Amino acid sequence: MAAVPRSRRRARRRDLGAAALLVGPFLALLGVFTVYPMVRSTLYSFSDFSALRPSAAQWVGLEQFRKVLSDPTFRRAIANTILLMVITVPTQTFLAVLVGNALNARIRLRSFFRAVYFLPYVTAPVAVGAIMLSLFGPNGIVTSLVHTLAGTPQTAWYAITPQAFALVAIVMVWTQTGFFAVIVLAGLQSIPGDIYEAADLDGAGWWTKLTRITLPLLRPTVLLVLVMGVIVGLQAFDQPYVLSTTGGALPGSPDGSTLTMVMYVYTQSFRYFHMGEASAAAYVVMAIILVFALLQGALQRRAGETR
Amino acid sequence: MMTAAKTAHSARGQLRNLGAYVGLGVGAIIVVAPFVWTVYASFVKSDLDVNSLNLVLGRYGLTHYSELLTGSLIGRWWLNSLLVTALIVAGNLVFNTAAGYALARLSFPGRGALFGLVLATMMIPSQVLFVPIYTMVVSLGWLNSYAGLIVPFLINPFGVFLMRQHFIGFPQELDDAGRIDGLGSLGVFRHVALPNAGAGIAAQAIFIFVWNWNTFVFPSVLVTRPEMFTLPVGIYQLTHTAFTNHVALSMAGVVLTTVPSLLIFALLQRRFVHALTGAIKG
Repeated sequence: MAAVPRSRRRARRRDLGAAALLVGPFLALLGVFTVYPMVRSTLYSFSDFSALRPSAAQWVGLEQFRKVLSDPTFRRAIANTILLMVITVPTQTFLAVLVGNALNARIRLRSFFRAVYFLPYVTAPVAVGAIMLSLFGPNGIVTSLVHTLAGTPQTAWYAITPQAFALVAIVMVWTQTGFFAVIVLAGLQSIPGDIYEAADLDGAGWWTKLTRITLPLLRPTVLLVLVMGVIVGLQAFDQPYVLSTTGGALPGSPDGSTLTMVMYVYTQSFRYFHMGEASAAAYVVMAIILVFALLQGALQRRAGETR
Repeated sequence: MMTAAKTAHSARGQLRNLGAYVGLGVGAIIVVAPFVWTVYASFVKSDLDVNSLNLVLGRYGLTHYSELLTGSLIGRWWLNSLLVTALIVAGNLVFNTAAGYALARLSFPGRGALFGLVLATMMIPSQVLFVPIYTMVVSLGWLNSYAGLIVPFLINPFGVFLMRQHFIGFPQELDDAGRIDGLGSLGVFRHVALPNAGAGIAAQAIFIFVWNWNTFVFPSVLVTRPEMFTLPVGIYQLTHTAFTNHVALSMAGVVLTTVPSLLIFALLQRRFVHALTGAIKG
C-alpha cells in the first residue's frame, strides 16, 4: 500500500528536472511577453502615461476609465462594433450552414470547392481590403452594378454613410463564411451515417431528416460557430481599418461610422500616444468580450439541460 | 417495386445534388470573382480600362509588374515575411510542444496552476497587449529590427493547449516501453513521444503560420522603415499610401504579394482543413 505514493513521489522527482527543461523556456517567454505586459497595461490604465513624455506619468486612479467611457467616440465605437456583430454573425452562420450542407452532399469536386471557399480566409486581410476598395471604389465594378440595379449613388462606398459600414460587414462575411462552413462540414461528418439509414428505413423524407436529425445534432457546431463569430466580431480591426484609411483618411472614416472598439484602442495608442486611455479602453473591450463569453456559457448550459 | 422506389429515390437525390452544385457554383463565383478581377486589372496598362473588358491587346502588358519589381521593395518584404514567419513557427513548435508534453505526461509540482495560466492567457485578447508590447520593444531598442518582429511572438498558449490535448491521448504503454528500454523522461519525450506526434505538430505549424503570415497590427507599429516591412505592411503601404490612385499598379502589388502564398495554401488545404477539424473536435 505504501509503495504507491512512494513510487509516485519518485516519479515526481524523476520528472522534475525534465519538466523544468521542457516548461522553462515557454514559461520564461510567457512571463516576459504576456504576463508582464498585462501587468504593465494594468498600470498604464490607472495612469496618464503617454509615449510622448514617458517619465511624467502619474497615478490617476479610475480617471482613464471614466474618461474613455464618457468619450462619445468610444461609445460610438462600441455601438458600431455591436451593430457589426449583430449583422455579420447571423448572416455568416446561416450562409455557413447552407454551404456546409451543400459541401456534405454527395458531390464531385468537394475538395476543390472547399479550397475555393477557404481562399478569402487565408488571404491577408490587407490584400482583401485593397481589392474591395477597388471593386467598391468610385468607378468600381460593384459600385456601378449596384448603381444601375438599385439606384445607389455612383460614389465610392467607403466615402459615404451608410455604405461604408455595409462594405465592412460585406467584406467580413465574405472573408469568414468559408472558414465557418468548413467547421459546419466537420460537424456534419461527425453525425453517424446509420442514423440516416434508420430514418430511410422508416421512410423519412429529405425535410424530415434535415429538421429531425441534421439540425438538432448540428446544434453544438452552430453554437461554436456563433461564439467564434461573436469573439472575432467584437475584436474586428483589420477589415474596417484597411477599408476606412485609404488615401490617408482617419481610421473609422467617414465620420467615425466604421470605427470599432479595437480601432479606438489602436488609434489612441499609436496615433495620439494616449497609452493610459488606450489601456483602459482595451480592458473595457476585454470585459465586454468576457460578458459575452459568460452569456454563451450560460446559454450552452441551458441548451444542455433542455436536451 | 423495390427498384422503382429506389430509382425515384436516387432521382430525387440527384435533384438535390443539382441544387448543391448550383448553390456551391454561385457561391464560388462570388468568392473567386474579386480575385479574377484583381489578376485581370494588374495586366491593364491604363487605370481607365480596369473596369471594362478591352479587346485591343495593346492595352495589356507587364508594365506594372516590371515597375514594382524594379522600383519597390517587394522582394525584400517577401524575404522579411519568410524569415520572420519561419523563425516564429520554429520557436512555437519547439517551446509549445515541449510545454504541452510536460503538461500532459509529466507530474511535477505546480502543473495544475501552470495549465490554469495557459488557459487564462489563451483568453487575453491581443489588443490588451498592443501598448505594453510596443513600449517594451521600444525600450529594448528593437523597433525596426527582426528581434522586435519575432521574439515577442515565439510562444502561443493555444499551441500549448493543442499539444497537451494531443499528447494526453497517447497510450501509457508507449511511455512504459521506453522506460523499460532505459530512457529517462527527456528520452521518452524525444525518442517515443515526438516521433509519434507528427499530426499534432503539423496542425500547430499550420495555425501558427497562418496567424503570423497575414498579421498586420503588430508589425504595422513595430517597423517604420520600408526595408523592414513584412508583406502585409508592404501591401498596405503600396495600396493605401504609395499608389492610392493607381488601381492597376495596386492590384499588381496585391498579386505579387498574395498569389504565391495562396498557391501554397491551395496545396496544403487538405492538411489545413484536417488540422482545423481535428483541433475543434479535440
